[in-house]
Amino acid sequence: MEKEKKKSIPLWGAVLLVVVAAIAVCVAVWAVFSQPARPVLAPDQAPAQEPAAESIPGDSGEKLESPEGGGSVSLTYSRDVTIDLSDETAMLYFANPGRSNQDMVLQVVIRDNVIVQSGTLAPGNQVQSLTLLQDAADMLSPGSYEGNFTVLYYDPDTGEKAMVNTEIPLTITVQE
Amino acid sequence: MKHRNYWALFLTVVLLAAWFPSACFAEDHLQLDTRTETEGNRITVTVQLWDYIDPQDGIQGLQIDVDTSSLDQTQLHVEEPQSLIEDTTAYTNTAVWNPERGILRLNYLRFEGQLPAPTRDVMTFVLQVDPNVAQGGTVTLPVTAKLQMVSGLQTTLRTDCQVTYDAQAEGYVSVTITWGALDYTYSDGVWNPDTYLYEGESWSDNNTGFVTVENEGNLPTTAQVMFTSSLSEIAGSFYVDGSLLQEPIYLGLGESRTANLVLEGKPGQTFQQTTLGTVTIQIGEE
Repeated sequence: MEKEKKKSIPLWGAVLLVVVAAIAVCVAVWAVFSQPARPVLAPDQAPAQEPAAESIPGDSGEKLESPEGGGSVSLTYSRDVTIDLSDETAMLYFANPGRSNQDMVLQVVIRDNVIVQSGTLAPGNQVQSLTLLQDAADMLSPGSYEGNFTVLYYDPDTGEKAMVNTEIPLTITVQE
Repeated sequence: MKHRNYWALFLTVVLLAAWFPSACFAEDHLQLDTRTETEGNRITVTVQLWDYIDPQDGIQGLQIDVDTSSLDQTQLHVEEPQSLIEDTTAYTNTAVWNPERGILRLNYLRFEGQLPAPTRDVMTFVLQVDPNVAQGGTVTLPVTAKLQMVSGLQTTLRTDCQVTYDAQAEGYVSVTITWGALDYTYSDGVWNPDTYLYEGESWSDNNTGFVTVENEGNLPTTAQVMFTSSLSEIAGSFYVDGSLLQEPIYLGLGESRTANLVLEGKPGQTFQQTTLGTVTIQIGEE
C-alpha cells in the first residue's frame, strides 16, 4: 500500500503568495491615503453673492454693448496671488467692472484642484481676499505654484451658466 | 653766415612740420559723449564735448542735434533743452526742440573769438517717464555735433545716447470679452435622388458664433480660444481672419481680435436646444 503523498504548497508558491499579498496591501494603502484630484465643479446656477466683494471705486457702470443672446464682460486682475496657510485665505485682485453684463464666479485652480471658489461677483464689484475651500490648505505647502483663475459667467437675470468661460494663468505664492 | 641761414631754414621747416598737423587736425582729439542721470521719473541727459581744454584751433560754431524721432512720446516726454555753454558774448547760444521733426538742437556761433576753453558740458535736456508706463525699456538717441573751427575747418562728431527707463505703474491686465449667442443649426443638406444621399450637410451659426477679445490694460497679453465639445461626433475650430487659429493671439495695448467658431461633424441624434460644448478663452502673458 502506497503512502498517500502529502499535498503541500511548494516553496516558490508560498513566496509568490507573500509577494502578491504585499503588493495588494501597498496598493490598498495608496488608494486609501492618496488624495484624489479635487474636481473642478462649476456651479450650474449662480451661487449666492460673495460676502468679501466690495464696490469698485469710481466705477461708472456704463454697460458694454452685448450681442443678443450672447454676453460681454470686462475683467481686471492681477496675475499674482498669495495664499496664507495660517489664515486659509488667498490675497488676490479680481474685478468685474460695472460695464460687464454677466455675473462671475471666480475659481483659483492648481493642478486641476479648485483651491478657492468665490460666490457670485455682480458687475461693479471686486475682491481682494477669498477664503480657501475646506481642506485646500492641506494640499499646499510654502512655495510657489503655477495655477489659473477660472472665471465662470452667469446670466444676472436667470442665474443660468454661460457656455463661455475664461482661464488666466497665475503665479501663486504660498506662505505659512 | 651761410651755415646759420641753413640752420634757421632747417629749424623753421621742422617747426612748421610739427605745427601743421596739429593745426589741421586739432579737432581730431575732440570727442562727443553723453551722460544720463535718473531721479525718480526724470532722466537728465547731458551732452559733453571731451578734450576741449587748450585748443590750438578753437570752435567758432557748434551745432548739436539729438535725434528723438525714435522716442515714444507717449512714454517719454521731452522737456525743453538748455545750453550749458557759459558765453554771454556769443552771437547765438540757444537750445530748442522741434517735436514735429524729432530734433533737439543746440546752436552756438561766434563771429569773433572762439568757444571758451575748457568746456565740457554743452547741452542738457530732460526725459520724463510717463506715470502710466508699465514696462521699462531702453531707447537709443543718435547725437551729431557739427563743428566750425576758427581756421575754417569743419568736422562732424557722432555718438549714441542710450537711455534706460523703469516702469512707473504697476502692470495690470484688463480685457473685454464679447461673445455671440453661439446658436448653431445643423442641416442635412439637399437630397440627391441619384445617390440616395444628402449632400451639402453643414452647420450654420446665423452670425452668432464669434468671440471677441480686446486688451484694455497697460500690459500686452495673448488670448487662446478653444472649443470643448460635449458630443464626441462634433468638433469645433476657431478661425481668425479666415485662418485656423492654432496659436495664441497676440494683443498689444488697445488691440482687439475676433475668432469665429466653425463646427463640423454630423450629430448622432436629433436634438433641440442642446448644449454642444464649452468655449474657453485663455488669457495669457506676452
